[in-house]
Amino acid sequence: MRKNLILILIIIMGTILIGCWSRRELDTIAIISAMGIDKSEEEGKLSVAFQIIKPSELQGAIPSGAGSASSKGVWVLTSTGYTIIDAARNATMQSDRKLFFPQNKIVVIGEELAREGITPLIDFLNRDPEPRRTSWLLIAKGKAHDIISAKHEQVNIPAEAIENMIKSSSATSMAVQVNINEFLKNLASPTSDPIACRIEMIQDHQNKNQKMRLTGASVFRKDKLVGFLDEHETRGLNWILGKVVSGIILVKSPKDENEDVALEIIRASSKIIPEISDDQIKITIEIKEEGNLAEQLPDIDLTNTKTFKELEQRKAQVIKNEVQSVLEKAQKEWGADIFGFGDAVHRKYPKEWKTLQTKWRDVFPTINVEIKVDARLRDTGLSSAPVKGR
Amino acid sequence: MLEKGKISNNQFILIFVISRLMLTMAYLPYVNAPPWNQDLWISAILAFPIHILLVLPVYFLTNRFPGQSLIQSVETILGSWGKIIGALYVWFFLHRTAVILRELGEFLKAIPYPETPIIVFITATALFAAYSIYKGLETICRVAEIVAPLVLASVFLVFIMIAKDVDIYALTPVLEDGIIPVIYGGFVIAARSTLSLFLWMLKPFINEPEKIRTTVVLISFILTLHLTPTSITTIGVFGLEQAKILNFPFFHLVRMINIGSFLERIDALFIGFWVLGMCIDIAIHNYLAVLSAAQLLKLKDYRPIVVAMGTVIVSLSILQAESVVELNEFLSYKVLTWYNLFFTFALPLLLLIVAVIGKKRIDYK
Amino acid sequence: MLKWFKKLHRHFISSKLKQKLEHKTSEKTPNPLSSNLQENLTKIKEVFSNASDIVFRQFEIGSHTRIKAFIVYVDGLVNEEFVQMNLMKSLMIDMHISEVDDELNQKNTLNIIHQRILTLTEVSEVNDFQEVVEHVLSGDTALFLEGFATALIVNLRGWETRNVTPPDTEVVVRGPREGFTETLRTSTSLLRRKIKNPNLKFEKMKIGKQTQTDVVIAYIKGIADEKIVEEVKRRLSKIDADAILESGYIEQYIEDSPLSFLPTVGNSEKPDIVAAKMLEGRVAILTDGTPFVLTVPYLFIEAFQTSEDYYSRPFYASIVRLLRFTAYFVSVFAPALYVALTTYHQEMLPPTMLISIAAAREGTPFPAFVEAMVMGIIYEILKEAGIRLPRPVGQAVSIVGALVIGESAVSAGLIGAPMVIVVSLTAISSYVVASISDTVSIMRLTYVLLAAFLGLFGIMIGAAFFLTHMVSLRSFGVPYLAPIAPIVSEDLKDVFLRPHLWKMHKRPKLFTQNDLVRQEPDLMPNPMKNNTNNK
Repeated sequence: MRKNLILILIIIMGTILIGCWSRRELDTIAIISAMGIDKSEEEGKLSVAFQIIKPSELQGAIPSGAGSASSKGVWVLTSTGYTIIDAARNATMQSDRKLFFPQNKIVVIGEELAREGITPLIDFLNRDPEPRRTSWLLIAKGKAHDIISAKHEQVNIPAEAIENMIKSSSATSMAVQVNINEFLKNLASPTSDPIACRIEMIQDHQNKNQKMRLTGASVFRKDKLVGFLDEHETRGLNWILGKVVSGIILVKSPKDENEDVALEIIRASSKIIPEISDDQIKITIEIKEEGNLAEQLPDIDLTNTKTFKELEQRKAQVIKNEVQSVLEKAQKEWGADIFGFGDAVHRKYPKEWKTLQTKWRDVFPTINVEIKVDARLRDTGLSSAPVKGR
Repeated sequence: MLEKGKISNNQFILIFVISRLMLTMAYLPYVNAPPWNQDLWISAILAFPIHILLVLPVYFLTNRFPGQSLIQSVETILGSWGKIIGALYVWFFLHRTAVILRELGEFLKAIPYPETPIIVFITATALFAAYSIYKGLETICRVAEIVAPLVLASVFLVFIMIAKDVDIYALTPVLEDGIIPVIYGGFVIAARSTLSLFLWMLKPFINEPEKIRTTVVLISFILTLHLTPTSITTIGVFGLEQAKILNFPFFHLVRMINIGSFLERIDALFIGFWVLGMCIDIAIHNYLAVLSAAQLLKLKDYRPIVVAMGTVIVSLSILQAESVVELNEFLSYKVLTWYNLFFTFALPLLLLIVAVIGKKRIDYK
Repeated sequence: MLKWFKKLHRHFISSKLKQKLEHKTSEKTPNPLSSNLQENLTKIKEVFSNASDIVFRQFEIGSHTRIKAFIVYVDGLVNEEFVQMNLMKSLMIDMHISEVDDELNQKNTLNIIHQRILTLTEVSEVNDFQEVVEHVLSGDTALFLEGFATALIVNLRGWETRNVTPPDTEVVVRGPREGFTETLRTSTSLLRRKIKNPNLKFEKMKIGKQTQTDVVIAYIKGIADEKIVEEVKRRLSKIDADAILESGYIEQYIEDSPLSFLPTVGNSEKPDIVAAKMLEGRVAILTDGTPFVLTVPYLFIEAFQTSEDYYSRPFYASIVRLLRFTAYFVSVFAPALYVALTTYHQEMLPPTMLISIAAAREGTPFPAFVEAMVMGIIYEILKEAGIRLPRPVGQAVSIVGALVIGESAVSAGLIGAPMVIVVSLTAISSYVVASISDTVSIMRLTYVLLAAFLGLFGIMIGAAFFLTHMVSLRSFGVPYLAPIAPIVSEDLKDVFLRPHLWKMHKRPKLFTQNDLVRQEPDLMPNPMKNNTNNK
């Protein structure tokens, strides 16, 4: 009996004395929902903005209308340091709580910093156990701080809005969905170059506020930002990568060249077929697309086989143009293989690849690319001809 | 007899599979071993026959000396010189337990408990191992019988849940560097296994020793069934280059799971199952160390040396390496493959040859 | 607790008394009755001195040959009316008017009375004084006759008994309502009515030096494993306690691992459950004075199987069984997981949930671990108070508990609302597996403690310890966690799901090797097939 008592005492004492290191109560952590990294004005320093959730403000977290949404659900804390983790630790000097990264969903990097290369920034996100590789990586055209401190009318936590914007961007296919893992995968790959989302603050003309908007994609060469793609170029990229899910293609009406017809994309797929003949690399991109007639402005009946064929051709041309524009920029202008051409060649010609690999950067801009588009129109929606006023 | 319990062949399968699976699950060391490319999954399949091949010397030895465990049959073959070989094996088990303990600690220290000293995890788990050794082999195997299906099921659930994120093109081109590195890779994978020593130590306690061939094949099959999807998903999700630099690829894989925005962040659950599995892994290795030491010293009961051995193992696991880098150097394929192979294959083969030449055997009676 | 008291009691009992007791028991040497009636009377009066409930009635039998006689019984244990009408009347009146009166002489009285006079069914002759005393104390009536060293023991038992009522502990929606009663005979009769088979055996024993409690070992010969039956008998006969007041006493003397917090002996109040368990090869131990019948061997999964699973159709029953397992895990792990997740592994919570919990925790004074412990202990107090208090007061207590602890503590900001949800969820869940809910409380608090110190790692190490402990237990030779570990594949089908009755054509292999086949393997009802057979 006495033996047992001593044993129990030892165990309890032991657990009390040794335990509790990694323990942190919920009211001692500052939950970060987004972080933005910029160059600091001080030489060589980073300036990191943390969007910290304030749970007490969100109590009974039912968003009560747009009016209160602008209330402070988050607090933006800016801190500087030579590395990200340095900045994060410095932030505790200002915050009453320790920063907590696992719930972080958004990482925004400023344009200026990204142009200098982001490998030093991304290591923290890869090494530290707290941040998730599923966070979205965005490049801000302008300052990342502006994005982090921007408000959103619909939700209390702006980071949530950005995440939902990225997720729902498949409705237009005019933005890319890139998380840290995806980015790192492409960065580490010996052949391809990474891309990231692009976000910027735009002027809202109605109430003169600035608001966030996804505006395409940002393109890297190795780890350095080389430029931005606009929305149509981004869709061109998505066509090549086979990532177009949905979206609207505007073409001119065959009957009336001044009026637009909107065609909805239902499904799309792509194939990259490399071919090596006489040391010359040729790449064929085959794009298959199916769509519906979604909206038409001219009051002419388009529902006959002939106009449908005409529409299909015009649609194919639009797709081709979009693809062409992105190829022009990425391949010719920047020399960034964001399309995975290298991977495709590697896959098909593993032997030739061994010699190609080292000089791929030089070879890539010289590749002949042929674009084949097979666009189909299937459906007309609920009505066939438009209503005509007499 | 030191151990009176009997275990069924199925229990043997589960206890071995779980003790193999747990470390592979956390560390997946094969990504940084031959064939160094996306053909790892082929190596995993090739490991299946090689694995069986590596068990053969011990299989013949156990047939030659039925009812005798490793230590006993070595002594039968070599007489008093066998004590030295026996002591080597005791060291092997001791050291292996210490290594696994350390790896458990390193993982927990790296991810969920960065501030906690590693000795806390090591001591707590060693305490559990000692407790289960007191309860005997049967108990350890029964716990494995509960935990192993759970762990296996959750691992395969992970495969299913991550399947949509796998980029199957990352696995092409197939056989880029030819078949030789792939076979070498299969060999490295198989050489990590200590199945032959488990078999040697535990065969006297197995219910139906005549069915041991099926058991060995089944074990190899389950391990292949686990490693092949693991390598496919890991490389498919992270790409080869990423998979190589990640310390805990499978853990990251679990973190990547996101189904319908609600089934996500299940990594802590994974840690939970992993700890449970590791407990059994450490318990059985510790048990083998204790049992072999007791057999070597010809003790009537192994219980008196459990605590002493446990203390040695805890100290060894902390002192064996200063940092995780040092530990990883030992665990890399360049060292561990040959270290293991010496004990699991080369030494038994030598002993078999000596036994055959010396015409030593024990007949069924 | 009781056990501890008993231990204490044993310690402090004076050695003299102990010796005396031992002397008394060893003194089972025959103590024959005297043929002198007066001697017997004084002797028995001496034994029963100062016992006001003992009734002596002296009278004479016969008209020609008058034979002195007396009866002894315990007032309250016999049916007075039967004594008057069936014993006294037949001895004192009927005998006079019947023809046997003439044949009566000094030598054949006992025989005549036994064979021809007494119209009662249960009459026996006893020579030993000690035995007579035992019989009288158990409620029999003893008849002494002048000149005979033998007493006639007549069973005229009749005491205040409780009716067969639906038990409070095991309530069913569908299934028999009857439960065992405190009277051993009633209980055995209930079992006999379920299993009308001569192989149903009731072996009787007396346990308890002071209480002399009747205990019956019930089993079905040919199904139950003889080894287990023998083991039960051996363990029961080794009990040397002075009192057996409830079957719980027996349980604590025969269980396999008294140091474990897990029960390895089952109990039930319902004849249908006990009958079903006996039909699977278990042995039942019925104790006089309590409606709770013990069944051995007892396995862990029995807590998850209820009689109603088998009475209702298998589909929903299977779902319910899975729910029961879920509820068990919830009630064991929920508070510990809550503590671990909110203090160690916040990254595992979905963002919105984390924010909600963090908002609720904002400004509460105690760490989550203290909250969990305090709430857990308060819940246990409320539960205990609710059971012990008289029913009307009990309701008041539960209202006060729910309002004060639940509502007010949250609105006063003392305790976070999620903790209240977790604790009440736990409390409700633990009653889904009511029969082991006491062990659940112990495990729950231990896990909370472990979670507070080491988070999920602590919980898992604890789970590993508990699991190892559980699989190492045995109940009468059967592994406690069977058929899950070790896996008994044939029995595994009736663990997580409830298969069709016609699928379970074999008895569980764990308890018995005898007569494993319950029925033909292919008894799936098929009306179409039967019809064609008939025609």
